[in-house]
Amino acid sequence: MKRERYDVAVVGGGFFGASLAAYLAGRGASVVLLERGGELMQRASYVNQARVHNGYHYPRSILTALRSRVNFPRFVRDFEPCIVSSFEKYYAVPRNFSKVSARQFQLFMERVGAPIRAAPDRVRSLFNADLIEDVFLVTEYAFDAVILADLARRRMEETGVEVALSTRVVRLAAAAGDRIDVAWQADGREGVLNAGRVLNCTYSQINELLLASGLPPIPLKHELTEMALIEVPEELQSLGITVMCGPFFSAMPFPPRRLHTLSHVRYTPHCSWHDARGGYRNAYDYFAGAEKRTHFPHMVRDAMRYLPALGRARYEDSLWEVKTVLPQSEVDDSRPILFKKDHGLKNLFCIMGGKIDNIYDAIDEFVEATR
Amino acid sequence: MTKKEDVFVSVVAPLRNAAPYAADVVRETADVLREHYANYEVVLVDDGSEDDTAERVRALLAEIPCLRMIRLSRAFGMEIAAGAGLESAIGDFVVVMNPRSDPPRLIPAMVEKCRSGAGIVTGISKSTRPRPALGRAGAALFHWYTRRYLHIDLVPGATDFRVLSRQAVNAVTQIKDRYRQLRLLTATVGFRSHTFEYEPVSRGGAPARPSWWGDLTDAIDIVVANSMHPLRVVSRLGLLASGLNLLYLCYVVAVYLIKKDVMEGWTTLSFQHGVMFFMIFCILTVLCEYCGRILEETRNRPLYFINDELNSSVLLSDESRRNVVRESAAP
Repeated sequence: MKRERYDVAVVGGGFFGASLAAYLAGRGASVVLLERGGELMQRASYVNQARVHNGYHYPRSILTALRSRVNFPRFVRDFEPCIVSSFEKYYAVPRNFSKVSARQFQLFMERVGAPIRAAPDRVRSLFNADLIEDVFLVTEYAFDAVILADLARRRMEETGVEVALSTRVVRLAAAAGDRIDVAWQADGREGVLNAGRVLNCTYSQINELLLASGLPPIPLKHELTEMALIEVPEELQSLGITVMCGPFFSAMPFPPRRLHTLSHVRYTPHCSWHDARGGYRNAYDYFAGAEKRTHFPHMVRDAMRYLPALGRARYEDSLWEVKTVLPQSEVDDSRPILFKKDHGLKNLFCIMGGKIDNIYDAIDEFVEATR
Repeated sequence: MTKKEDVFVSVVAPLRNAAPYAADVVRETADVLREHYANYEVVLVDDGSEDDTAERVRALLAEIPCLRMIRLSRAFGMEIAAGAGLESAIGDFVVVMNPRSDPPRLIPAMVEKCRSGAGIVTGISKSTRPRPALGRAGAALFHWYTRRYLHIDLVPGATDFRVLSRQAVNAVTQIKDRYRQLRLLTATVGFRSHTFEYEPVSRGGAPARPSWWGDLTDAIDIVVANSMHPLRVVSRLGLLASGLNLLYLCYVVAVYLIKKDVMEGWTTLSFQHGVMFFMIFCILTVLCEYCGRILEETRNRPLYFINDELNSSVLLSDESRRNVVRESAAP
């Protein structure tokens, strides 16, 4: 570390950590970001559906949908170089097993002001009409996570954030003046820095850091998830398709690999576990030790019943990651950000978001909480 | 261990008040599938069980992979439950089994038979259920009738145990009749059909004895759902009755003109009334059945409602768990 004292120490170099670090440094704070990996944004910020949400994904939670609507244009403007809009995005609603009907879906989107139109016949005919009630053309984009990481890195450079890669935060402890001592390790070296505020933005590792520091854990649920990377047949190349809302699937462009991801509500989560319920286990360790046998045969067989052309998709490989959610998300359809101020220690913030484009809510919340 | 087959097999098993044997059957089925197939799923459909079937299956979800449970909102009957499972199953071959009587170890042989060209393989029970002589005669008559007039070849002894190819499943799930019997639907959609003889087992006590009334109801349902033949028969009967009436009218007129004294005739009158009323009620009976059917179909309600769907979430076993279990520091 260049210094011993910082205004803010951000733990975790995912998109949330990097964005908050850049924001705070931009407002004049001295900021250090500590990331245990060798690169920024390599885990859940890279391995996800790469969807810039515009409300369509949450047809049962008006708050989540509305926030997505508000954040969408902002995100598209701020991160324009990484936005991929060169595909048509369709949402299809099945007749059976769906939690919303096509009519409900349409009305909901009209109510939150999300653009929605009937799909053209050439797209409609790709679906199995016995199983799909209706198909809609919507405005939703993807982002390229590699370019996004580049943008985040550049923003931190511009604002003067000190970035410490391959650096692991092992413990937090209260220090004089409501400040926090941050003990770190990096290839054999170790040290302690002192920060006025600490942001725990470690996603699946939030409780790891809390428990190591003797602080109360937060109820979190983890899932071992798999997305299949596929090369879709010609007629699906320029389409992104989501079938919802229930045990269905999404075939979204994944720009960094120039392939599509196939994810399935039923088969993408391989298993799930709760922190602080029946013994804590570290999500990364569990992830490393877990058997990763692909569910692609399951995903594609279900998906091709609705969209027969997917049967001709070529499987490339799979992206695996730990997905962390709040247990309450199981019950309703909302995806709130976790924002905990002074959690166990004064000036310790635990911040976790489920969606990249939710970053603005996190920043706004932080500004309000520290005013 | 033999090389696992590269074919995706789904097993659909409707469960109704199956708590005593559900766990055993599911475990046995999963073991058989795991041994033979690289990819498989077990779709359990809880048909509104009132005992703790759902809880017992839920416990299995944490233990057995590739298990799914669809819970219907109430009891819709075995056939509808199997239909819900078929609509949700994703396999290249879908096995429908009655967990109460069908042995899972036969699944690979049946699937093999289905793979070698048949669209549908139907299980035939070697030991038919006991019936009294009158019941046997009734069954024989019914089978003759369905074969002769409905052109449906109902195989005697056919059970719920069957395998359908993906094409057959797609065809069957397109039929949205209210009254569903898988054995009839599979007969309707055509496809090459094979049979497979086996000895059913008995789980959870002896199966309920076939009731005469239940069989009769089934027979009427099958006929009405699949044929216009009775309607046509009674419409002919109506035609015949009106013809006879016309003749009788001529007779009455003739008697009136020729005979001087027409006081007697009570016998004729009663007889004619008797015949006419018999025919009218026959016709009404059949019309009622069809009216009822039309009413059912035009309501166009969903066949079933789903309560929720649960999937396996199996963690690594304790031996291979990597990290230490720590005391949680929760307050």
